[in-house]
Amino acid sequence: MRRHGLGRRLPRGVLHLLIVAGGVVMLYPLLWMIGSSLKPESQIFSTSSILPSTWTVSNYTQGWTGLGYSMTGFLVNSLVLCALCVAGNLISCSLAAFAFARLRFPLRKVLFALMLASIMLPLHATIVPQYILFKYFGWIGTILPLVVPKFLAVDAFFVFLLVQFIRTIPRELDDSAEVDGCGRFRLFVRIILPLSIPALATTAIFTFLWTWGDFFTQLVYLSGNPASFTVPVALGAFVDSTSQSSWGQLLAMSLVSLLPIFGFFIAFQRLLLDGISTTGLRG
Amino acid sequence: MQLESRGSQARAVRAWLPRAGGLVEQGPGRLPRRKLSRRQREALAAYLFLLPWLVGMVGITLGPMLASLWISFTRYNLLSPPHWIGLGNYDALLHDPLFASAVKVTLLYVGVSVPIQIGFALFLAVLLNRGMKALGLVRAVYYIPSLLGSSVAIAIVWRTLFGYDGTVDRVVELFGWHNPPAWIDDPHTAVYTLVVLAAWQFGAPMIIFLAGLRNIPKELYEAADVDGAHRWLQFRRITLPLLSPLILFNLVLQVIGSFQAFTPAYVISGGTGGPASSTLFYTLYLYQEAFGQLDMGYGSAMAWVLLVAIVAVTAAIFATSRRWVFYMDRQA
Amino acid sequence: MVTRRDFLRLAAGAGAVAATAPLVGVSAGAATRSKAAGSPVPKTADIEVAWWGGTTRDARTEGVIELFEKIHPGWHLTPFFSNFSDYFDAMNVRAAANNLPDVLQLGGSYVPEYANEHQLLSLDRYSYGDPADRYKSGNVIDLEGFDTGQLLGGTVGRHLYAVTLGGNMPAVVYNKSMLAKAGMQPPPKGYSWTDFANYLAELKKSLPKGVYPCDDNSGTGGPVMQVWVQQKYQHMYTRSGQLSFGVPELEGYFQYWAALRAKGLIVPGTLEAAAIENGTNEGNPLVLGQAAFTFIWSNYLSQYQPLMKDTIGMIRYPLGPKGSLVGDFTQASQFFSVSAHSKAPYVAAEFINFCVNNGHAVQALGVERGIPAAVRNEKVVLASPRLTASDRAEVAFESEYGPLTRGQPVAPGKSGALTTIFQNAAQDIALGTASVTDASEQAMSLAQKALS
Repeated sequence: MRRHGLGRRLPRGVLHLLIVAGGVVMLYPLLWMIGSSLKPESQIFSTSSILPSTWTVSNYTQGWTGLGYSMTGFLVNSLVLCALCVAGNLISCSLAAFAFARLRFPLRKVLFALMLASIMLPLHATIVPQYILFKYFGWIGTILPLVVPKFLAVDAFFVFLLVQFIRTIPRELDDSAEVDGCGRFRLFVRIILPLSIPALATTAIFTFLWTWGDFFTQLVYLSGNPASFTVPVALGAFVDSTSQSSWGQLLAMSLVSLLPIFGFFIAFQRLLLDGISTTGLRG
Repeated sequence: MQLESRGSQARAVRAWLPRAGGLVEQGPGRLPRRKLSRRQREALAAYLFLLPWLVGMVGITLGPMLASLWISFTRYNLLSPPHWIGLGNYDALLHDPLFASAVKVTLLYVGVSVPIQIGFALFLAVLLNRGMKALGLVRAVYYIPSLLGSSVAIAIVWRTLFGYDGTVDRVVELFGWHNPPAWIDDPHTAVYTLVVLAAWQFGAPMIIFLAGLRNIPKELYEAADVDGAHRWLQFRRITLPLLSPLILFNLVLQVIGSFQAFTPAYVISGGTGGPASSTLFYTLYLYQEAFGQLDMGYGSAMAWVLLVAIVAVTAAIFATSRRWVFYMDRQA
Repeated sequence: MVTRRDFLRLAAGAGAVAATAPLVGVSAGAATRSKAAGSPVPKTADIEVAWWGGTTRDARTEGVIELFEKIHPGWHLTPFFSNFSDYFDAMNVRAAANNLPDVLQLGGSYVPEYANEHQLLSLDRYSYGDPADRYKSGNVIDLEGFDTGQLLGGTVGRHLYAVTLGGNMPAVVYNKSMLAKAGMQPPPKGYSWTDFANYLAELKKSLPKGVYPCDDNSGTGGPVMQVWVQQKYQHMYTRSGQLSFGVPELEGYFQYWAALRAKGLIVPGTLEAAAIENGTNEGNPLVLGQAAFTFIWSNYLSQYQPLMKDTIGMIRYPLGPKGSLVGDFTQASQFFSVSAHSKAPYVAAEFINFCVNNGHAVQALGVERGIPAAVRNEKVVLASPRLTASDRAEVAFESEYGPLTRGQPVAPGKSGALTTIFQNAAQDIALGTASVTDASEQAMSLAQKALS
């Protein structure tokens, strides 16, 4: 197999060394977090050494139930929420993106601009009217305000991503499909979706990640029952500026909460490899 | 009509019937599938594909957007109804020194962090796209910082790295720099620690570039190899043009994201935008005004000024994109 | 209705009642009592109880909720909690939709802010301080013997909107071990601001390198500026809700700190910036061993101590130029209020009463939110085996100095913004990005704008 890209003339050893060195820089903060999560609370800020002088796992054992509710519940809630949001975004955003990228229709440019504009207002300016709207729908205290928008392609970011990606797919494919008598929906499902798998995987990864980390909307909309708290909302309760905090527990639980997203990333990044170059459609 | 003598339920049914009947009668006449032109059918299909998005736009997104526009013309403390003051908030922005400083800090942040982040992402995506052992692992390692996000946990890591007697101090001391600035606690350098954070978290654009690289047909490189084209030339002639729609995407998104950058400054400065307002990003100041000072009118005015600014910059990027973005679908 | 006069009368009678206070309060009997009075007591109810705080407070409060639900099987309480700043972000959004939790923890200027905008329920009908009022319809919350000043802190326009969950006082916390090593005693009782500056200069001579005599509390920590001002002008705010002092006073205050800073007697601006960014106890210069003294609130003693190897102690703030005019005060560190839109205000009031009066609840909550506002409940707390040595020191401190200070100063609703304004000014000076004069002038004009 031929190799492509930059740096081919660099000796392999040097290149690998650089990549490893870069990796250490990338990982150092994570290692610091792991080290500190194994320190007693009073050592976290008083020593800058990455290794604990006294090792303890109490941050993990106590942190798991530190809020009076088990971390297991928060993790399950977050996983369910993320799964729904990923499904919602994959379906709704790809439908909208196909229309913007491949079909001609009146007001196309206006609607596209409107879509982009909708992600240009900061959350803090719209959260209050949005909360009032969802209260009017009777959705407060449920996951509906967090999930329904995903099925309605409100995350315009991903529509834009998929539009840009679909536009890198040559149009001759569409034409040949049409010659074969494919309708537009079949064209979308049979040709465009399979060819967009890397972008769909990207959408899935980011939706999962951002939903997993999204704090404020979950805090505001899920209020009403700590049993329905998600991971970020729970993590927000470990450290407080006006009373006793639990930094060690926060670090420990933050690390625990990284495992699912790390797993999700590893699972989905395989799909990134399935571009045109490997699906054989071009052949 | 027999239905007329029955109760309210019947009246409701009756009210509904003529319209339904009309639809049934008109349906075939009005929507003669075969008589629609190709263009009309395409438009109809497009709107069907767009239906969920349209419902979301009208039902969820548009209302709060317009509401915030209206609020920007009012004095609104969240607790009692908004009170119309016309352009008062916009006028006050012009005379607010903290607003001016927030604009400056934000422009600096956008200007420095966006090119660095996209440059890093592109470089590493191309590098990591080569077949090599444990590629998945290496990619994951480079992506880990982005998984960490801008959480409270990452904030304390950053403070430990760039804080008093922190890791960075120790490292530069090895190189003989004994009196470094206080980095994160010095108003002159604090914003650059946030730039470093942004550069360190280049994972998102990198993944998008990787996805794009996978879609570039191998045959193009193979043909170039036959022609004996130089690697750098291949990168410029094949990789860059074919990746350009995604470069545009990353550029637009990073610009929007950096203009709106909130969480890094919020968690690292403990919500203050300090030291001495040196990390008071635009949206952090907006948040402080809207939620800290309970002046949502002012915050909303700031939001709409930001929207206009971002629209202008984005429009400029799109305008130039015609020259440097290459779409496969145009080629056909 | 609870009026100022009622409070004074109550305060006078507090001592007598305290002696006979039962361990278990009146709460368990409250339901039957009100039923007799014809007040609607819901058989089933579902209310939300919200507070901010760390894990310790969460555990204590959840324990009390559990106790309460056991006594009232038909009533279900849903907790909501987060950290301080996120909590208020969420509350503000919810207030905009008239959707505040039934019972919510509030502090400082949020009580007048929310009460003035009709977000809170007046608790007059649900509370009594006079035994004669006890059987009036709906009366639930027993304020007998509660500290007058703290009750006033929850009063807006002669109506009670918030019930204190415990009091605290301004206090100077110091590192005992460090002083012992330096061979020094803490400043003597009745020391002045000048004495304190001289003391710090003396202390500096025997402190190791890298340790500063005092934290920079010009903009952070306790209510230093407020106490400073009240030692000269009696009140920080005028009756019409404006600042009672001008730029020169503010300049004088910042100048005091600037002089300490110039002599290296307080931590430098960059270290203080790090403490502000951290925001929690763990980042405090005293806790980190960078400073020997810090100005804070009395209830922080028992929060700092577990984080330190050194032993710490607590003294009163320095006295002002007019020694007799004290500026420090006893305040309610936080309150419970009831939302104006609560569907079960009676249950909400019952729960508040349970928290402040039921013996088991009082012991479960301890002094984590502050010292109980009634002496009778202070005794209940002192009987708790869970109380630490620092907890007891806090109670002793408040018993000794509380009577010498005055009641909580009433702040106007819009004063919440001032904390940030003065903190920013202090930091600008500390980091040298603005002169004392410029920073004082700018802060004063911003403060006046915020209060207008």
